[in-house]
Amino acid sequence: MGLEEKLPSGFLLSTVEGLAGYMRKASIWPATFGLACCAIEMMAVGTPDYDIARFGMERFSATPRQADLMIVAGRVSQKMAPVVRQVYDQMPNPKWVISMGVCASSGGMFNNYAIVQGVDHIIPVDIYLPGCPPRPQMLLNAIIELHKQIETSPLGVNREAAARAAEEAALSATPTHQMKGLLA
Amino acid sequence: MSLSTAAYDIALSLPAGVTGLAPANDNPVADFSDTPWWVALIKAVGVFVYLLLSTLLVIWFERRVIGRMQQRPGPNRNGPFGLLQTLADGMKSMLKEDITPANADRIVYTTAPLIAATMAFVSFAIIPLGGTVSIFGHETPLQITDVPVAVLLVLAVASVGVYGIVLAGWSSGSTYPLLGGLRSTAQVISYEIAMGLSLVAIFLYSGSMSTSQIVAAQSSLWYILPAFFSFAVYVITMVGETNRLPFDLAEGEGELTGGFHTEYSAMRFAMFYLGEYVNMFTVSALATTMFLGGWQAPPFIAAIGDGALNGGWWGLLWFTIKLWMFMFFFVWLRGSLPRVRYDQFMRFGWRFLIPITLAWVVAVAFIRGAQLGFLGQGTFTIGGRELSVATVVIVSIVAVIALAAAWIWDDKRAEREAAAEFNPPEEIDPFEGGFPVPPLPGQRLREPSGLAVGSGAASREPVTSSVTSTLTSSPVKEETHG
Amino acid sequence: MTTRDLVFVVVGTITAVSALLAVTTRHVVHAALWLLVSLGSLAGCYLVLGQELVGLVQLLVYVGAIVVLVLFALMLTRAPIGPQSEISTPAWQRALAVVLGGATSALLAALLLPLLASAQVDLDRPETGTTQIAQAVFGTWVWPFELLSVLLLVALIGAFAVSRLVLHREGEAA
Repeated sequence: MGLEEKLPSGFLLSTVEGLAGYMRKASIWPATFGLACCAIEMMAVGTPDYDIARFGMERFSATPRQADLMIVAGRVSQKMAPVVRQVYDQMPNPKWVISMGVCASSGGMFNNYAIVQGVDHIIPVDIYLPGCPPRPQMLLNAIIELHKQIETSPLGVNREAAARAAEEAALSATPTHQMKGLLA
Repeated sequence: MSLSTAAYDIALSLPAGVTGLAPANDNPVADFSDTPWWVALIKAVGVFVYLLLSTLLVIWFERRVIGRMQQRPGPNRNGPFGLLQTLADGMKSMLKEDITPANADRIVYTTAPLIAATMAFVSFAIIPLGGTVSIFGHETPLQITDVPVAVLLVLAVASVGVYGIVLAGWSSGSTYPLLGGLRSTAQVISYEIAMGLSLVAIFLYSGSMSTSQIVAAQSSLWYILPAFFSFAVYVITMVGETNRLPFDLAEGEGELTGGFHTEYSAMRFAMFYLGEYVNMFTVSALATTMFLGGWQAPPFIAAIGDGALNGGWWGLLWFTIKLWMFMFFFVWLRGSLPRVRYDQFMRFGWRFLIPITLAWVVAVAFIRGAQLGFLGQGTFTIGGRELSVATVVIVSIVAVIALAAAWIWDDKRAEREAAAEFNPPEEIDPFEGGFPVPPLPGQRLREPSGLAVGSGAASREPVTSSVTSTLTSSPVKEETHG
Repeated sequence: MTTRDLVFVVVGTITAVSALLAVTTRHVVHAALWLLVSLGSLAGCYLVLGQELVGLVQLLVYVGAIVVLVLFALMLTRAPIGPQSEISTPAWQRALAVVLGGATSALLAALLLPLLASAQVDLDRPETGTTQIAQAVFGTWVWPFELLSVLLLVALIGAFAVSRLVLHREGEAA
């Protein structure tokens, strides 16, 4: 994460972006972060029927230091929240997060004081995957979406430009509470 | 002249036919006289590239083969047949952020993976990859160097490689790596002893520790046959040395997250990964050289065209085939066996492998002594083959002792099993111990006699007294059930 | 001065300097590691002099076993990272150590250098190879060799006995 970030914009940067994007997407190592029922479906993705090894992702790493992807599979209780944050912080960049299942995405069926209403309260999420639990094919779909994102993600100055553009768009967009809908 | 040198002279003067396995001097067979420094450099770079490519391939190979053993495809999306998978893993590791924990000892944290990776490559310096070839006009053997004590170099370098692990574990500054590093180090140094001892038998057979000499001594008979027990012990210890399943306790993820490499990310972790696989190649290469005749072609192929396929560059092909057979064996073990428990593993290493390998070395020493004529020179002929009396006697004594030991051990095991067998009684009283105990399959319950139909006396008194006597006689406290 | 002499001087200097660092550093584990470097470069000295057997056995035994044991002892107890000020010796002790060490070295040098200054070894025709070493160890010096092995065995058994005694006493006290 050093040299490739400092290249000047142009042909060289876009080549490096393409190469780095391909390499990063081809070898994502998930962190074993199965919390509840969605973990079973995550394990099922590793079975021969669905086989996440085809993508090179069968090497789940128990230590966050060697993981790229955190699949938050299951409900996050208030007690578990600091742990989730710590494991996320321990992962080196570049890292991505898939919140698997409705409990991780929005609290799911547990609309109460004990469960964090969506893991994006604690960590930034790249892909939200609904389902209770999502079938293994749905998890694979989420992973493939993430692969598309990673392959085309900009680096260095392009990334800063993209971040600024996203910020601009968010600032100039209609706020949610002013959206009238089709009837207005 | 002392006795030993006299006997040695006798040994050297015996014809090879009597002993079957040629006694040799300890100097290397490989002739490096026509090797200028740049040819040696070319060979060194060549071996380095060979190892790197082999590592790239073996990682892909392992994941595909384990996948197929588990009835799934394995990596097949990145590149044709998934061949780009290892490259992607390596490049991704290079592009990751390199983290050093705050508590870590920085200098040692950086050098530990370097030690682990480098030592694995160094051991390949004395492995003969082929016969004598011609590189740019210079006749040179296809190995980087050879010394009279070459195999000792491999063992010494392997023991230095242990430091990569223990220092990595300690310098990370956290508990999981420290425990994992200590475990792994204890594992490696324990099995190093058994490995060295198993190779002593080979030194006794070949008369030398020089790898080219050992390969040359196997031109008539590969040592896997006479030293089959050493081969078995060596295979077990080689799996233990490289921290591979079933002996990968140092990386038990449920127990130690990542073991000694928990805190390592990016390129440093890639160094450990690389070092582990190159280590596998090194021990397999040593096994090939010691037991499978090194770069020599299998006997039926060596006979084709009077040795046309058995020399020079062809040696590299046979060597690679044998090496990959061992790699397949490693992968096969990983795909099939569960992990051993730590204390079982250490007990096996120290209390079984080392004593029995020592006994084997003593046996081999006697057998070789007999073959070399130290125990008498009489021979007799059976079916046209001349055999030495002493050899046959010693081999039969060793065989008898081994069979007797196996018999006694089996007897003791059967005895222990018989003693541990639990034969439950056919009839039990369920309330005997105070708590109701359900019957085991096949058991009968003893009915309390007072409640059996027709067993009571006609008059009320005897019935009540018998009932009360039954009640008081049984140690069951009916009050507790009330 | 040939290349071999130069390499020998370099390796010897590394041995001496790392031995010095081993006793002067404040990091406990670093002391063990400098000892490791010192013993390893001593093996290098043997290799430069053409004695591969002794050099490799030095690596195998000292570097591969003894320093590992020292490291084990350190790490099973406290595994300290960073400088440990509580075990640093005061300045006067260090000065005394320098004086004593220097005096001992000077004494040894004064004795040995004149004695051996005229000794010459032709390294290109080695007179002591593996065979001669083996004949010496198992022929001439076999009794000291066996007695040393017995001594090591006694030390091993003694360590076992002491640890069992300690355990036994702890068991009784508990």
